Amino acid sequence: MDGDEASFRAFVVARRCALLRTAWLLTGSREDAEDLVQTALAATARHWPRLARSGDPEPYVRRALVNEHVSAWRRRGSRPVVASGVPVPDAVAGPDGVAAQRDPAAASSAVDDRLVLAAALARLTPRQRAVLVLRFYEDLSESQAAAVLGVGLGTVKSQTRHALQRLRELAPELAAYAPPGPGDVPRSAEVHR
Amino acid sequence: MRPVEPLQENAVRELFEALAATAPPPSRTDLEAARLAWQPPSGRAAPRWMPLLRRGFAALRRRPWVAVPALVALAAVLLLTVVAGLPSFRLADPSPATTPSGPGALPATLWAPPPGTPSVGDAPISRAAYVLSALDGAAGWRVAVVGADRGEYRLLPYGEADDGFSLSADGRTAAWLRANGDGGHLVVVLDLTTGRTREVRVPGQFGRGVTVDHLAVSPTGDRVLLVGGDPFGGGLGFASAYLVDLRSGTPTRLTLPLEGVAWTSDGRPVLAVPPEPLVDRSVVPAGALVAPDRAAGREGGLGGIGPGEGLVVSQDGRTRYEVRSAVQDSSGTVEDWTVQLTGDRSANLPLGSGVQLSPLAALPGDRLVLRLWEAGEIPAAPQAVRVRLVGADGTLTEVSRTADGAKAGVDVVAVARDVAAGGVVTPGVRPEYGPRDVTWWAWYARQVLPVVPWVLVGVLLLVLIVDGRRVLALPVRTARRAGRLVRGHRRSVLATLLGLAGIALSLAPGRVDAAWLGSAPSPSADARAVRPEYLWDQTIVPSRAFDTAGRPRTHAVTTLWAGTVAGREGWYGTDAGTARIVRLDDVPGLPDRDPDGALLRNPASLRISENGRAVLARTRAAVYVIRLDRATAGRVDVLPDGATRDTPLAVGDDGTVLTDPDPVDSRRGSSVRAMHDTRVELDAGSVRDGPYASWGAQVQAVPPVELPWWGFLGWPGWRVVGGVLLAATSTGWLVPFARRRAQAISSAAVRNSSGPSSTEPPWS
Repeated sequence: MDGDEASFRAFVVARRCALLRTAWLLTGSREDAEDLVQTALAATARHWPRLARSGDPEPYVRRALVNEHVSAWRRRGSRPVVASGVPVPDAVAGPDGVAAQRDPAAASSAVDDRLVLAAALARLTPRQRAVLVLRFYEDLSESQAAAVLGVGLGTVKSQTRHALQRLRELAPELAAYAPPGPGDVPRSAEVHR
Repeated sequence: MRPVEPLQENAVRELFEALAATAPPPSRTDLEAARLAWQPPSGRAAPRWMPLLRRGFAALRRRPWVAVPALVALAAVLLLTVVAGLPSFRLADPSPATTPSGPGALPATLWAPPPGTPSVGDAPISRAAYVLSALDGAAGWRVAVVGADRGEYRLLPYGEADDGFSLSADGRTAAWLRANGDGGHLVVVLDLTTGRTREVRVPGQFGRGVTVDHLAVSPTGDRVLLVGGDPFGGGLGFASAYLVDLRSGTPTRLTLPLEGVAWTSDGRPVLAVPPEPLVDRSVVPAGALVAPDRAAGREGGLGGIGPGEGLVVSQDGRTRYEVRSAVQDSSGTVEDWTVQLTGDRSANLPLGSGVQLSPLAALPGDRLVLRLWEAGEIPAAPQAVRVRLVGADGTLTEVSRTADGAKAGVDVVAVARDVAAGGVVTPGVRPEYGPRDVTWWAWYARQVLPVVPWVLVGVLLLVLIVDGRRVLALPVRTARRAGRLVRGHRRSVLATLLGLAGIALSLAPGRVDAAWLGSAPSPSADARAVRPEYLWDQTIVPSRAFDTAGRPRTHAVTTLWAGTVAGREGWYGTDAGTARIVRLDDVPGLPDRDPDGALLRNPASLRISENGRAVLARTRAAVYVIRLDRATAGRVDVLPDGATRDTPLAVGDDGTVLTDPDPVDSRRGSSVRAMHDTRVELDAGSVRDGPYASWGAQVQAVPPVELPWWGFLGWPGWRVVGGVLLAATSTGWLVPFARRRAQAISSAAVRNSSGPSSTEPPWS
């Protein structure tokens, strides 16, 4: 094992879990998230010596993750269909399965919110989902999100606004987290899309 | 835009983090994922063609006895094709050819074209001085032209069965005969300045070709005169003359019977009539060229075709030169030759001795260009050839001679009359080509290329012998797959094919008509009229003189008659610019019948104006005038003063009706000359003899117009057929589509009417 491979392995061990969570938010499926991360890591491995020399390979990996997610969606030719009445499988319970036992009422409310958010995220476009994940989970600034997505700053702002508006339309229960402002007018075309 | 409030932003962030915390554990460990990412099981991303390449190399390793010869043959074919085509890029010579200036020059020394000589198609020349033929041991005859400006040599696309070379007076056009499969001849016309050739066929009766004995290119190269015979036509045993207008490719039978053709210096064709028993030989016109005396056995060169057969006339047509020898045989012995002048001047000039001597061209000032086969050490062996100029006073001047090293079969076949008349002689440029010349490589590549198909056949046989089962299984497997595919989508495939056929048929008539008319040369104002004296019967489809919108396509005609062409009765004429047959009776505004009910398509008389732009049609009850240049027609109510219903009428250039001062002789029916006139000339200039018309009974035939094989698609009925096909196909596609759509809509309606389930979450 050479030095490059060893450093790559160390990077994967350190960051794969976080990448998987991001991918899980993007895809909503464990298998798809694993495939997405593995593809991004394979793409990273091809350029690892150069990325390692740069000192911070993670932006490249995240960008590969998001781009591959959007490209895979485009390759499929149509948006994934979330069947009516079928809850998002991985979001029914937490990974430990004990969250609902400590405070039944609060836990139930938290689980409901997660379910609603997961279902609503699944109905967003991949780019909208990516914007929300980068901005509110990865905690990137708008300019950093624009750099990762390879789009302009204005695009990130507008995508964020549209994504939140769409979230409110899809899941009115989340209005408490992002209440509508006076400038937001629901677009019927998007509601029925 | 409303920014997200920080508090709300944090709330959303918390929600995302809570959701991310529920992410399920991965199915493989981080170390395993890192190992797989670092060394992907399928290797690095490879191009899609890589598997094919790998399979190809694997097949090469498995079957080297098959694959190696195939690859070598493929590489050889590609290499030869590239090398053979290299000269076509014309990298070395300017293109188009340089414009000639001055009279040009005759080279004093002539060589046989060596291997590597480019063809005219590879490197056009401005004009030629000579046409040479050289005996090539391997390929038969090799025919080349020698440039009049730079002395360059260029090969002609000559075939083994080609014959009868002729060069225009300006040296820019060459023509020769090529045997056709039906026993007749094709006339091959080559534009030396562009290298482009075209073939003109002269069809005779029953679709058989005419056998051509002589041909002569007009001084400007735009027309060719032929003398030939139609074995199934009229006048059996006698030759006829045909004028081929290269602008339209229309051959026109002029008159019969004839033996010789020539062009005067001002571009008028002159036809010679045969001797007894039809006319007295003594009245053979001056200015004519007669056929060789075949009985005397003076045929030579490339089959005894062309004007150099023993008798030529001066350009003014007043003096005749007949080359004779003392001994009337062709045994190859040395003879003494003389030229006998008759006509305005009479003389008998000695030309010296030689194996054979024949005239090539008559020049102004009673000068004559002669070709002489020189006496050699062995009488039967090929001799050197000299080109001499005979003056009016009998002086002999040597102009050109073949080089000593080029004795073997080099002959002078034709000379450019204008270049020879200039009298300029240059030493000549020896053609030499070697491995440094692209044309040298192209020459040998072209020699080898005909063998390539046999090589490929050999390779294919080898492959079949060594690996026959596998090779044969491939097309069988492919055919089975295609068959399954078609069977699975039988209706779709059939509907698609029918739809495409319907679209093609719907569009075909308009496209074909436009394409055919577009391929025909359009008449120009300065185009010289061609007036055929006799028109030969062939099946043609004349185009209309007016399009469907009433715009004129033909502005003037030189002949006009009422007859039946291609099974349709009507008025027909020959376009003044293209000599094509056109249909005239469907001009907008012209009724079908006159006031008495007589069909206008069968009028009592037809006349055309001097300029050919106005036509007068007369029936017993009415007179109509048609303006071809305006595509208008109208009935004339007022006749000229003093005119009655029986007064012969004519039409002026502006369409006014006149009293005919020179009515057509009804006994002759037309102004076409009698076929046995002692002097027959074709008026190649403007129409001098005034208007004339002929009637169906007198029209023997019409010149043929070659209809392309796809011409049947021009039938207007194809539009209807195509429309029906298209409608049927569309219905076949639309009905199942509409049915599926209706089912989908009804299913959706049923789902909506049942309402959402009580167990469904509110966001669904």
